[in-house]
Order: sequence, then C-alpha cells, then structure tokens
Amino acid sequence: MKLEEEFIELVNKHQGILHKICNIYFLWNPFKEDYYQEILIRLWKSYPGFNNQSAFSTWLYRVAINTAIDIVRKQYLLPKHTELTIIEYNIPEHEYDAGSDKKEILYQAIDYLSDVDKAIILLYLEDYNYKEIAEIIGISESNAGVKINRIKNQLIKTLKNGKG
Amino acid sequence: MMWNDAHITNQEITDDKTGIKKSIKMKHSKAVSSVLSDVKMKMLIYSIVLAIYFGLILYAFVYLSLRLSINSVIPLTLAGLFLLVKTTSEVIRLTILTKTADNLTVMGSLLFFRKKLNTIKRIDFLAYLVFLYLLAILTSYNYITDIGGIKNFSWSNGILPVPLLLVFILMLLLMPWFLKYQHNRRYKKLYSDLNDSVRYLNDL
Repeated sequence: MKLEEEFIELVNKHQGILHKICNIYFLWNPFKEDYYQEILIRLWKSYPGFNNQSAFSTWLYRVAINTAIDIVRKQYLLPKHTELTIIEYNIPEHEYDAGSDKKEILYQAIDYLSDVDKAIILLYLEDYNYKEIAEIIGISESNAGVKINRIKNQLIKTLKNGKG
Repeated sequence: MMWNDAHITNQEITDDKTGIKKSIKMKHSKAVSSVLSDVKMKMLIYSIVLAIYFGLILYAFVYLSLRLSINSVIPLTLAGLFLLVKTTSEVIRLTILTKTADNLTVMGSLLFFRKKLNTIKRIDFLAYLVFLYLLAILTSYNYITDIGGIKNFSWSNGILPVPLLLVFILMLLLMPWFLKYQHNRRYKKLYSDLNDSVRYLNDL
C-alpha cells in the first residue's frame, strides 16, 4: 500500500511529462486518453524495477517513452478502426494545419519525426544533457549530440516551411 | 525557448491522484483491453475446436482402433492443420502484443523485442518443421500399408493416384517455409520498424 501511495504521489507530481509524451506520440490519435492510461498502468507494473539509481523523472521518461513507442509500433496489429485518419474521422484539416498557438505548431513539427527522434528531441527540449539523453536512449554521448543537431536542423526546416 | 514558452502557459495540470489510482488498478486501458480480449477470444475458440478435433481423432484411432484409408486421412489432416495454423497464429499475435521491456533503455527495449520476435519465429518454424515432416512420414507409411507394401507402389494404383499423394506430401514438406514466409510478411512492418530504429541508433 505504501508503494502504491508513493507511486501515485510521484506520478501525480510528474503527470505533465506523461501529457507531453502522449501529445508527441499520439497527437491526433482518438485513443490518446486511453494510451495515457495504458502508460500509467505500465509505469505501475514497472515501478518495482525502479531502483532509485536515477531520478524518478528520468525513469518515468524511459518507461513512458518505451511504452509509447511500443504502442505506436504495435498499432498495425490492432483492428482497423484504431487506424482511422483525420479525414476518415471527418475532422476539418485546417483545424490542425494553421495551428495558431506555439504549442500546436511545435507538436505538429515534431509529429513529422520518427519515433526514436521524437524521444531524443523531447528529452533535449526538457533540458536533459547529452549524457542523460544517451543513458535513456542507450547510445553514446557523441551519437546523441550528432542526432540532436540533425533533429534540430530538421525541426527548424519544418517550422520554416510549415511541413516536413 | 519556444518549447518552454509553449508549456509555461499550459501548466494547468490538476491533481489527479484518484484518476491515477483508478488507472493502476486496471490490467490494461479500455482500448488495449478490447483488442487483447478479441485476440484471446479467437485464440480460445480455435484452441477449443482444436482440442475437440484432437480428442475425436484420438478417440477414433486409438480407442476405437478405426482404420481409415489414405483418401479419408488427407482431408482430416488438412482440417487439423488449418486449426493448428490458426491457433498458433493467434497465440503468436497475443504474445507479440503483450511482450514488453519498458524498464530498459530505448535501444535495449528495441533489441529485446526484436530478439523475442525472432525467437517466436524460430520456435514456430521448428515446431511446424517437426510436426509436418512427421506427418509426411506417417502419410507415406499409411499409404504404403494401404497398398500392401512398397512392392505394390505404382502410378496406376487405384487407392489414391500417386501424383496426388506426392503433391500432398510436397505441400507438407514446404509448408514450414511457407509459414515462415507468412510470418515475415505479416510482421513485415514491425520488423522493418525495429531494424530501421536499431540501425539508426547505431549509426553515427
């Protein structure tokens, strides 16, 4: 019971991270809320494996990003109704295209990146240094630096052009 | 920075301890649960039908010592094979959907999942290889017994035309490779996603 309370307290404090991850990976997905819940469940299942060697938020990023990538990767194994596009949902496209607020524009630009790049840039934008990013992703520090520079350039290009 | 500006103005995250508590009591979220129960249901139905099929086969051939000609054995075998393929395919789908390694690094998780996927493929292939090759041997043995020994083996044999038998045996022998190919095709996107991501992360 103590473990559960401790977990709830910590996740409640850091739930902004989960919302950001969901926005990055499931931006237009009608099941975004459901996947948020799935991430929570898998965080709880993985929590006994959290050994305090890293900060809770670092562990949270790692598990939540892994879960989000896992859900995206397995999407095509799910029934077709979960793969409907914006057009099929009959949502006017302009609602998403001409995003007036910064957050929306940024998420749209990030949406053009690959799943792994999304994870790297999210950590970078959240002020993690190269070493920490390398540890979460499982690559070398120099590799993380190279990738960040490439992603940054790609993002700048997307933001300038308005699309990928 | 644009990211920070965008999120400072959106810090309306409210206290959601009750929601979190409710969520972690669940096994899966609603969407994932419904997919998994669909797969589980299919798997269960095929397993039950397969068990009934094997039960009846055992009852007929072992308990009643029923002796069927090769002409009757072939359609029965095909029906059993169909059920077996459908059941294992659903078992594999469920295993893939539920297999996770969230506590590892992103790269570690990718490698773990790819390894698991390959293990599933290898076990599946080997199981079919052993089972179908045994079936081919048994069919040949059954045929030879039916015609009264190898000396009576002839193209004009009246029990079952030899070319038909050969096609059936050839089909059994090729099937493990066909199923392996089907597995690769079915999970092509998953494999290419995993391989691309691993290659990209390793690439400087």
